[in-house]
Amino acid sequence: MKLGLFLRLAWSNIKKNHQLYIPHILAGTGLTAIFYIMLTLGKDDRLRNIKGGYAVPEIMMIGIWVVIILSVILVFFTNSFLMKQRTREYGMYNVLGMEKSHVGHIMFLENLISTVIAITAGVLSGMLVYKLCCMFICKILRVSTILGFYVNPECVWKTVAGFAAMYFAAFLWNRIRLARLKPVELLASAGAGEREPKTKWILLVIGLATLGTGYYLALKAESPLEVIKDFFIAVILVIVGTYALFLAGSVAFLKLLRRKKSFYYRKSNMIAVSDLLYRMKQNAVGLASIAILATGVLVMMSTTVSLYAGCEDSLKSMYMDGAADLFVEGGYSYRNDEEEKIYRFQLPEEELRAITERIAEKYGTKVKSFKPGRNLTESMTVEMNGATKTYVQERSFEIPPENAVDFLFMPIDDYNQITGRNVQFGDGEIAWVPLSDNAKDLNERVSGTIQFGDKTYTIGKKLDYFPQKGTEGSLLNVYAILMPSIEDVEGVGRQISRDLDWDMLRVSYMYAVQFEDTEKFAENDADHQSFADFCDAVRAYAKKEYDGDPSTHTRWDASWHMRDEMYGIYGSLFFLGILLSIVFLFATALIIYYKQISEGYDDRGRFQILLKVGMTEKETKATIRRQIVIVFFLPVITAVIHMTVAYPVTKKLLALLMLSNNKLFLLCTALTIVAFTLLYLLIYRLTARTYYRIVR
Amino acid sequence: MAILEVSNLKKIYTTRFGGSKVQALSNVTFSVEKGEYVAIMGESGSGKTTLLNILAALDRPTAGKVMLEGKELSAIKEAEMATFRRENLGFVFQEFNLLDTFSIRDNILLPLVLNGEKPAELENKLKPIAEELGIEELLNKFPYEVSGGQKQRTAVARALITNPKLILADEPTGALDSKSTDDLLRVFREINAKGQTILMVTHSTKAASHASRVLFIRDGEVFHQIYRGDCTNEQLYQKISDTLTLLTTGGEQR
Repeated sequence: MKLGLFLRLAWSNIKKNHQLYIPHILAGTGLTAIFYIMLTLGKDDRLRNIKGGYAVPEIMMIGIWVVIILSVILVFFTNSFLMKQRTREYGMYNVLGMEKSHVGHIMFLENLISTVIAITAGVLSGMLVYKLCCMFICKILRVSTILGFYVNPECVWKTVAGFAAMYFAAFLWNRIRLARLKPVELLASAGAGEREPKTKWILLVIGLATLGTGYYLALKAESPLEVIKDFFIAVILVIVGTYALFLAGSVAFLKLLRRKKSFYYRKSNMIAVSDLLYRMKQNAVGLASIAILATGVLVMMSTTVSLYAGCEDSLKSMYMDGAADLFVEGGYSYRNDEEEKIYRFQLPEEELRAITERIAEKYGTKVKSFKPGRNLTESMTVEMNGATKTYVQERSFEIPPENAVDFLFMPIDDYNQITGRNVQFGDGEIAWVPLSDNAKDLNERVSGTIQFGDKTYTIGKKLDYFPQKGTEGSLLNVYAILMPSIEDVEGVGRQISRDLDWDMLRVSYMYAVQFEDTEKFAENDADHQSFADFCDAVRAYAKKEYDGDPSTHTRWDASWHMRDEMYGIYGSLFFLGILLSIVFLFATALIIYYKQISEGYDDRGRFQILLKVGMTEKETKATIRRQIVIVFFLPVITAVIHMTVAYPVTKKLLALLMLSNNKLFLLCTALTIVAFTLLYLLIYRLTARTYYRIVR
Repeated sequence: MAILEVSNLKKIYTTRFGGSKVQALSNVTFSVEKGEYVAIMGESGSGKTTLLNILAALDRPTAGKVMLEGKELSAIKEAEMATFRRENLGFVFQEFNLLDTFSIRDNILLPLVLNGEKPAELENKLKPIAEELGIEELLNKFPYEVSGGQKQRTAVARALITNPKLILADEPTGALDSKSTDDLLRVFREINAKGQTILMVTHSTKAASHASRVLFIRDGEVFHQIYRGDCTNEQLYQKISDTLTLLTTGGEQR
């Protein structure tokens, strides 16, 4: 009987406080749904069977941790907000003669009802949306497979249990707080005059220092390694700095404005400045959180969208500016036990070509072109003294990038064949092509001769085009050196082997192949059978020609395999970016909504006084709107500033992932900012309505 | 010369649902001379607050006229109303209505700032008033840091700073202890002695006994009025309580 009464009370409480409970339940539903979807994607074996799909579960299972952490924070945040708003009500029950344990029962039932609704709705909507997600993933992975409805019972119960536990923990937390409160405190209204915010100087200094250092680290990071190492430190520093500055910096700034009499004592400034001072005190943490979340969304979306949209670009630069569908290399190592040395031999070009043609035929197409792209890639340091002289030695990472270079040696014939150009120069000469942006800067200073061991070459030509891209962003000086013949390239290789006492000549006898119809391969070779065919053929040849058991060192680098892989990884990241952005937006919307509600009640009193003191309703509304807009857009502006500072670092990180299309990244960043601002505006519009309803 | 003339004021509220009508004021006529200190008394529900709201131009009458220095309030356009109120009327409320985000100084200066006064002028106007009200020590404090009496004096200073033609006080002593009440009434006497016209709505016989004239309202009409004449505060107090007794025991107007 009692239970019935309590249930009725709990239910009517939820209905009465729907303004608080609806967003609470909606957020729970959304989080549960996204968690369920990610978990199910992580367990869905069907994904592993589609092209590139193997990356989806793995990436989801990493990303799910972010969702878990955010869910815990949000569940606790909304619960404690609800508790704060309803403390008076609980106090009233207590005063009216209910024992605290009874109030606790009601609280439990309220929690139970809202949790059951949220989780049930979350799992159900997750199941419904799951198929949509699969369709979307297939779309971004560019496969036509249709994955039907799918429910994994394990995922269902794990989701339910996980979220139920989370909500129960939040309930316990509130229940303990309830038990500690005295009835009088429960009743006491929050209206006891709030203190003027004090300027927290130490926090201000900390904020400036951390943000400054974070920005500095982000801006100065130069080498790729530095970027990775410092990036996380910079992120943490910027987060700390953002919170500290929102807390202390805002108050200090507004107080400074207040001290400036000629500015402060003006109709439009006076009320805005002093109200904002209090608003910032109450909302600094919330606003800083929004700023961080917004930055997260912007960085996540701009990078994942760029990577995904840049797949074709990256592929093109990886495969000789689109001049190759496939790289083959028929080298293999051969151990001669008598001499105890490893030799490296090269499959004759005709043989390699024959093997490739055989395989092409098997997949229903023909070789269109088969061009040599033999090269030697080596890192070394350069000594420069007037005329350029080169000395070869092993390089470690400590060497300053000024004279650290990556050289790619290639015979001029191969270059001409692949690019279709006709570059000529005399014997004993080389052509010099800077590849990375840094190298381009240094290029001016390079002239004269270059010496490898005892052989000296004159730099006869400087070119600016090389088909292999993707190294523009590298912080090393990357050059291609075009040599008169393959013998010269081998000569350099021999010199290096001799200097460093290596066993092998490290020349890569690589050929760039184009097919009549690459699609044929793409369609029929999802399981990488062509690679296995190639290895078998090379091994068979080696067995026939060289007795023994050579371990092959071969390469069958197909653009269609790479394409699947890239779309798999970047597509999964893109999808993860979307899911996480949704979660971040949920968090943002919740913080804003609850901020508007709690502020609305405070502002109502202020609004009334201003009317009585002689402001028109229009003026009053205008002042309040102005303040809200400032408070509202401060986080977005902060996020955009963060994003701007992070832009160069992010660009370098993307360059490491072979994305060097800066225009694309800039475009994606701009689009993300616009899209985010629009969404944010929408959230603002929706929540502002509630706010004005309260104030009026 | 009459600074405020109220003639045949009538106010009927229509409840939102059901359309039943409530008559708050039936026929109120009176005038206030320049420099007068008038108290309006009446029980809860007698129409005091309605009257004050109409005088403050926060509400419009159903019929009748309110003239402030010969200007009819209802003729003023909505857009100019706030400016008109700021420039001509000063308000003192029972609940002080100070903004807790403003210091005492800023609370007092607010009407001037809203009027677009030059920042340099502000201090000159603030100083004499703060001294007069004995709050010059408190100017940098915030409302939560000062007592009720001090808050009310701040509110009075805020009302006075624009040099209004008329001060409207709504139960100004309602939230004060007896000592603060005495202080505030003394302040009102003093500013009245300097020529400030005051119209005060009150429940308190004691507050009313400081006025130069007391109006009694019952059932939406002016029921009776007492002039101070040569009476002391005590004598006036006695007269007021007699009238109130008559009012509550249901005597008819003679």
